[in-house]
Formats: sequence, structure tokens, C-alpha cells
Amino acid sequence: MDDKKQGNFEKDLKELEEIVDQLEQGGMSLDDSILLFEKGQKLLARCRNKLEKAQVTVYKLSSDGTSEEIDPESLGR
Amino acid sequence: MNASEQVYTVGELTREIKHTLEGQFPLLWLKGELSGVLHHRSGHLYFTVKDEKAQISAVMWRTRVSSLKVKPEDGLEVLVYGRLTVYEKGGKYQFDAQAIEVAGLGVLYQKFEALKRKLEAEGLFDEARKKRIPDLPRRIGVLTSGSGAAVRDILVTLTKRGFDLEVVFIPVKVQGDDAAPDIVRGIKQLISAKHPPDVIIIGRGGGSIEDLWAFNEEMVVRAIAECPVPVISGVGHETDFTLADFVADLRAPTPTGAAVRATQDRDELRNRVELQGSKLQRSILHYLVRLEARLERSAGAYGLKRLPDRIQQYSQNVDEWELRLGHAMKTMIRNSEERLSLLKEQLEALSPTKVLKRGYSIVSHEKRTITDASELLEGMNVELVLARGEAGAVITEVKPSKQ
Repeated sequence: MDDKKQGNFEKDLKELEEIVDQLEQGGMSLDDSILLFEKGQKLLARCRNKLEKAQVTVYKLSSDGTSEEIDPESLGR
Repeated sequence: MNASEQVYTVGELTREIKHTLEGQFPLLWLKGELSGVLHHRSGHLYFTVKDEKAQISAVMWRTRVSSLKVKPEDGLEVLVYGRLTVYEKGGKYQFDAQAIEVAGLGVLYQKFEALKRKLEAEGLFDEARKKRIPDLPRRIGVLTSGSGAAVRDILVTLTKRGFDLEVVFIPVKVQGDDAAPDIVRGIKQLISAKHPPDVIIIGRGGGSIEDLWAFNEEMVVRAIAECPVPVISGVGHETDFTLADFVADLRAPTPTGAAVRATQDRDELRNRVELQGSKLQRSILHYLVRLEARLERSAGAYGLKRLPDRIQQYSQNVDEWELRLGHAMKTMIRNSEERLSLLKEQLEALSPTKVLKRGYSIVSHEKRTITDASELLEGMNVELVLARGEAGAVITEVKPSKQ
């Protein structure tokens, strides 16, 4: 489990939203806005990338502490 | 004849029992609590009447069921009017119910109400105590039975909706006397793990009040109240309320509902990301539009000095933009193509030759572009770049801007 990866998605998305807000408000120099735009593009690409690679892993933890990966579809049948 | 020596056939003995029992117990009122109420598709109603000491199976035939005034439900304390019958073929006796009347609320229900009042008075159900469910949990703990539909409903829903998620499922007993301590153990095991979950789902499929009773046990309710990790309950059906539901940080109507509430839909997140993507594009377009307007206003050489640089920057941006979009979703590309062509038009409008064609010239001195009159001196030789051709000129008068 990559904690950083997951934590970053939320952070990246929030940062992207902030950048878009800033750009929409305007009032920045052109150079600053270009820089910000590029940063936004990078964040956007990262968010997309993570969404595509999103994985869910399910572990079953027994009372003795042992854990095994399981397939939910195979359960309760 | 000595009775001990008499030999009965099974049929004979059963017939004797039937006569004795049915003769001994004519029509009577039976007091107890309803349990295992089953509306059979034949229209007959099967149930058990019980108290602390014993239970009797009962049946009400279809014709009588339709005239019932009460809705038979598990846990309901009732008076059942009828007679005892022996079913010879099955070797069983059962109560043939003719009428059912409510005799006050059931014992379990009273226990439930008493504990609810007590814990409520302690403030265990206060809204202020409830913890916020995280938007995007990385790790979700699931406590439910290892068999039955609930575990599958929860885990499949989490897998379908979830995003970059680790689910830790601990199978626990959810019914019977061992269930409550087992659920408490599960909670403790989850929160004491090396990586405790960000949220815990406690779930169980539907059942009678007895089946769900573990979720009304004080130790379970307290364990949830004391759990440092937010808990979502999804016990039984929409209409079932257990004390675990009251104390949970969030009550979901069903196990599936609990899994839904614990996750954010991947598609929704994707939409949120793409919305920002299109806003981002629009916002940079606004800047370019504004830049154009500024250039129009500042008649003359102002701003032209850096124009080639900027043009290059923009074209690069446009190229990169196209490149990145090439990898992005097809729909996105379709949307952005229009915007891109607009952007290109605008960029072309800003190109130096176009600007020069509009009648502007670039003034330079010793290969340095002049954008400010204060850089000039009277008598200075300057070079002019026009839309077509170049020229040399001499400055005859300097009027620096007052700004």
C-alpha cells in the first residue's frame, strides 16, 4: 500500500482546484499565469494517471493475525 | 393387563398422544413473544411463540391470516388464541392459531428501550460525539460475517467504487451469544493494527430482532463509542434500527449502503478532475484574450519587444498542450479542439509579422529593441523593421512617457 500515492491524489486535486480558481480570478502577470497553467497541467496529468491506475486490494485478517489477499467476488456464495 | 407390558405401534402411540393432548388442551390463549415469523408464499403464517423457558411452533392458516388485525412481527409480545394439534405424520405438535392479539411490546424490545435510554442519558448517541467520515479513506476495515450476502455486498461495492484502497476484512460472528464479544474483538484488532483503518464498516444482513441482537449489546455499543476510528454501521434492512446504528458515526441503511458511504465513486472523481481540466484551459484562454486587448490599446511599440519570446512560449505551450491532450480522454480532445483552434488563431494574430502588417514598426538601436522613448536621444540613429523591408532613421525629438 503506497500511502503517499493516495494522499497525494487528494492533495493534487485540491491544488489543481486552487490553481484554476486563481487563474479564473485573474489579476496575475502573464508569465505567472503561464507558470501556474503549466503546474495545473502537470497536476491534471498526475490525477488522471492515478485514477487510471487505481487499485483496490482486499485482505482477510484472521483472529490469529494472519492475513491473505482475497477476491470479494468469490465470497458468500 | 399390566400397562408396562403393552406394546404400541408408533401410529397407535401417536394417536393416543394426539387424543390426550388435543383433549387436554381445548381452545386457549397462549401468551408469549413472536419469533421467526414467516409469511409462506402459500399464504399460511408460520411462527414460534416463546418465553424465557420454552417455545412452541405455531401456524395460522391462510384463511385466518387475511383477517388478522395485527401485523405479526418478531419480538412482538402477543396473546395467541387457538388450540394444540398433533401432526401425526411428522411426530410433532404445534399450535393452530386462530387469532393474534398484541399483549404489549416484547421483552427484547423493552430491553432494547431500557438500554437505549441509559446510553442516551450518558450522551453516547450525541451528534457532537460523532466523528467525520474521511472523504477518501486509504484503508477501510470491515467487520461482518464471513458467510452470507453482506460480506460480498460490502467488499464488491468497495472494490467497484473504491480507488487506490486497501480493505481489511475481519470475519466475526454476528449472531448468537458469542457474537458480541467477537465483534468487540474485531474492533480492537482493527484499531490496534500497525496500520489502523481510516474508517470501519460494521455490517450484517437482515434478520429478526434476535438475529440482530448482538448489535444491541452494551459491550458492542460501547466499543463503537470508544473506537478512535470513525464507524459506519450497515445492519439489517432500512427499517432495522439497532443501538449500534445509534452510536455509529454514520448509519447506513444496509451493508451495501455502508460501503457506498465509505467511498467516493471513481467516476465522480474522474468528472471532478476533468472539470478542472476544462476550466484550466478556459482560464488560460482568457489571459490570451486579455493580452490581445492590451496590445491593441498600447498603440505602438510597447510590449512588442518581448513579443517574439512570448509567441514562442505560447506556441510551445500549445504544442505541449496538444501533446498532452493526445494522451487524454478522447472526449476531452474533441472538446478542446475547438478551443485550441481558437487559441491558435489568437496566437497567430499576435505574431510580429501580422502586427507589423497592421502598420506597426519595430524600432531598434544597435540591435536592441527600443520599447521606451527614454532610451532614445535626439540625433540617435535607429533601425526600423516594417512589414516589408527595413529602414534607418534619425531621432529628431524625444517625448518620454509621463507614466
